[in-house]
Amino acid sequence: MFFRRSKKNKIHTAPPSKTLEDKKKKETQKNIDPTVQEINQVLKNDLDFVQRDLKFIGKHQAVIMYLSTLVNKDTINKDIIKPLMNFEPNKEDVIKDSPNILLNQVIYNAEGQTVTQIDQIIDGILRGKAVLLIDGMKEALLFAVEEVDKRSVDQPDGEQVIRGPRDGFIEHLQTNISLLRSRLPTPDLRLENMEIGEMTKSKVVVGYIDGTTNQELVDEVKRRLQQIDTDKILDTGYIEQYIQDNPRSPFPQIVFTERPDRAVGNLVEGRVVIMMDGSPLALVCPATLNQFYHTPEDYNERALMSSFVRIIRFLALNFSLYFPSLYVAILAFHPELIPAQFAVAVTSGRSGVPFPVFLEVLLMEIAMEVLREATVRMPQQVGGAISIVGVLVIGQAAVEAGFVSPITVVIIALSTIGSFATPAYNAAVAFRLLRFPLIILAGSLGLLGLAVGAMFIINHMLSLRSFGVPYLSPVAPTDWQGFKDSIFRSPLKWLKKRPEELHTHNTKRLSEKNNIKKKNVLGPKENRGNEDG
Amino acid sequence: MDNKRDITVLQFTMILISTSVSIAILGMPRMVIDYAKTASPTASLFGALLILFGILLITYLGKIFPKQTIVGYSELLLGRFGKFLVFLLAIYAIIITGLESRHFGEIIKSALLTDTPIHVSILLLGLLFVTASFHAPTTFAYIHYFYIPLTVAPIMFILLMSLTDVDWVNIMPILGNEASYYNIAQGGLVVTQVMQNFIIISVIIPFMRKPLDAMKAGVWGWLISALVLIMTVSFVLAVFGVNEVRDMTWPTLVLGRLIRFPAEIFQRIDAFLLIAWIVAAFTTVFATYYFAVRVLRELFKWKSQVKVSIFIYPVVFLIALWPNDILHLYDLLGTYIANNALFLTLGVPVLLFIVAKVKGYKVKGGTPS
Repeated sequence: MFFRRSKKNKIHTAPPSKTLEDKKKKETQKNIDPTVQEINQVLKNDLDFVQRDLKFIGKHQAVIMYLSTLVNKDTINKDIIKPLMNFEPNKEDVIKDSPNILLNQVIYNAEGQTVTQIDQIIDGILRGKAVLLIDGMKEALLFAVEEVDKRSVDQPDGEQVIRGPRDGFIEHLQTNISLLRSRLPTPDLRLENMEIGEMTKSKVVVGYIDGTTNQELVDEVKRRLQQIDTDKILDTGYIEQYIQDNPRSPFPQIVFTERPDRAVGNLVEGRVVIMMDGSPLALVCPATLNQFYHTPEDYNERALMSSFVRIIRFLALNFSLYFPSLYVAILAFHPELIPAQFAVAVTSGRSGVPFPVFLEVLLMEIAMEVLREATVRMPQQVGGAISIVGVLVIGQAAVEAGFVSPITVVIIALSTIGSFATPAYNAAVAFRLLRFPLIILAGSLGLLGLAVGAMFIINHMLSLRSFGVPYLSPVAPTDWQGFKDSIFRSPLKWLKKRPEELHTHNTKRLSEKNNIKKKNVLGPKENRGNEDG
Repeated sequence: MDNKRDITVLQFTMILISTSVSIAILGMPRMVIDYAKTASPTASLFGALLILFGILLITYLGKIFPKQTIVGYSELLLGRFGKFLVFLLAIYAIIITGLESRHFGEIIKSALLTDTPIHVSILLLGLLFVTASFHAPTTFAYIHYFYIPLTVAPIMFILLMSLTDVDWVNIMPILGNEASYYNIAQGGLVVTQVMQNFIIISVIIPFMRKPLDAMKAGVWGWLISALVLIMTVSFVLAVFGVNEVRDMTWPTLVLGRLIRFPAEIFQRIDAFLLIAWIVAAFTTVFATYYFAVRVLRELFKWKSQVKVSIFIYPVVFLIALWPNDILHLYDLLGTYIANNALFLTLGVPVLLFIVAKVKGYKVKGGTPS
């Protein structure tokens, strides 16, 4: 019986997307009935499909069709139907040249175009356009009346700053582009459009600055995008996975951001920005490791402070990677490394702990990851409770029960908090992930295992390239210009050139003359002068 | 513009330094001092000068053939025989890789992990350099460049800290008490064994941004690495004196153990210095292995570098297991290889140089187009 059923299913007629291929050749005719029938064949059963019959100039039959969920009905009524009905031609034969007259003189409030292919009409309807067919006129008119619900421009949750703009990208591409354009009113900003995904037909935009961004880079990004052949792209994350250089690496090779100011900053530095309709996250490529612990705020605050914060973040990143394994290696294999008094304190704290230190740290790390994941997934009201319960109660109870030693808890807390200090979520996860093999190596081979593991990671990073840019630049290979903006953030005055690894066409960031003379205008008279600040 | 992405002069210099400053620096002073007594600094200088000669020849050949590796131009100059010579060089590199891996294993066994079987540390090191050998020469350069502070700085740190223990009487007389020329030469040869890995630059030169600058970079690299080696030998001699050194297996390691850190953060610092030795061991072994992989790949026109570097490794591992014990290992490294390998590593460049001159090849000015 089951067999019979499956056979029946096979007889099912081809889906409209396949029959559309045939409709490509079909053109609209003066008689609108066959066209209306073709469109109805595809869309008739759909809940939101609307077909309205009208009489144009009292005698010509006209049909307007659209998907009611994607369009603004007010616009259709006010800007299309009303002028159409009020129109009174002077001559009868106006219908011959009607498409242009209608578009330019009658329905001038709506943005329209003429099409003649049926598949284009259906495609237009599916994208929220209204189609107008008039009997006796060969061309069909498509009007852009789409309206999609969108949220307002909001503060980006993932990348919060203390000092800096508060707006973030949203899911609506046009809004995002307007955020970019308003910050970059230069004629050199190029936003090239393409469509990816056989079913989702996602609108993807490649943004770059003409004359600054390396043209080979732009071509390569576009080439990789064009080669994506898939049915769906739901977020820029899909795109990232398709176009990144090394998909097997734990390290992210493309930066994502929801901040327009960061996107603009990267555009001006000579990188390429990829945006997509339906995703509030823009991709920035190429990326180096440095970018993952930088924040846009670093440039807003004074150089000394930003440098300090960056060093802290870099240390935190290293803490999160190496601290637990170093602890395991020293305690399990080389206790002679630490001063005797401290060693006694540690071992007395560990007395009664039933596991070897390696297992203890591993278990605690796993528990910590579980807690972290639970806090992310729970609704916000419950999430806060979990983190307090997790850290305070479980930690305290575990120590009191003799399950773990107090120092282990400190070490684990340091490494976990260290990873939270990393601004880029994906980089933090990569480092947290690598912590586990390092702990296992350190637990089985001591410092040798730790050193070999660390070198393995560093070798891998040194071999990584993002669009040909070495991942660890500007450290290896050294670029002294880029070095000024890596672990340290030099004063803006010193950052005279764009990063060398991007091979921009226009390397100069500011002119040599950029030397602001400061006068003590409010000071005592004798001190006023051309003294440099 | 593409040139910008290739290996720079600075990176090239660093490659030379990091291949020369290897884990052998731990035991090398003892062997030199064993032969040359107080004339050891002089002997080291002699050995280093021999290496300088080789570096000059190789970089000169690189200037004549800026677009070819040693495989390319030796075939051009000597045909089949040239290919055979380069094959021998690759075999030499594989043997050195194996023995140095064993050397590494022995040091780890005695200083860090006494109960762990030696095979484990050898295999771990193998895993590191085999996977690192998958990549292009630029990555090779980046890796050496990145690790150089981790290898040279600790050695300099040890030498600086041991300044307080130095007794300059130990180093006098600088030409040795009753050292013969033979002894000095023998001591020098030990130093050449450590520095012989310079040969790997012959496969790197064509990937430089400006191959014509190779000679300058080569001299700088030689200068710094020779300085490090001679200083290490001199300091070890000055701190311990001839007789004491002869009883130690790894005098430089003992030198590191002498260091007391003023602040009481760490009880002993030598285990951390061992991390520096691990890095140093890796960079050297990686260099020789990479040389072997690149040469064999070009020689036999194999396509996949990944496969080559995986399939050569078992040979390296077997060679690493070849010495019976550490005495046998030092016999092989300090005597057989030190005495004979120079015929190959220095002889091949001399031969190629002479043939190139006889055939009338000249350095063409300017960067190659």
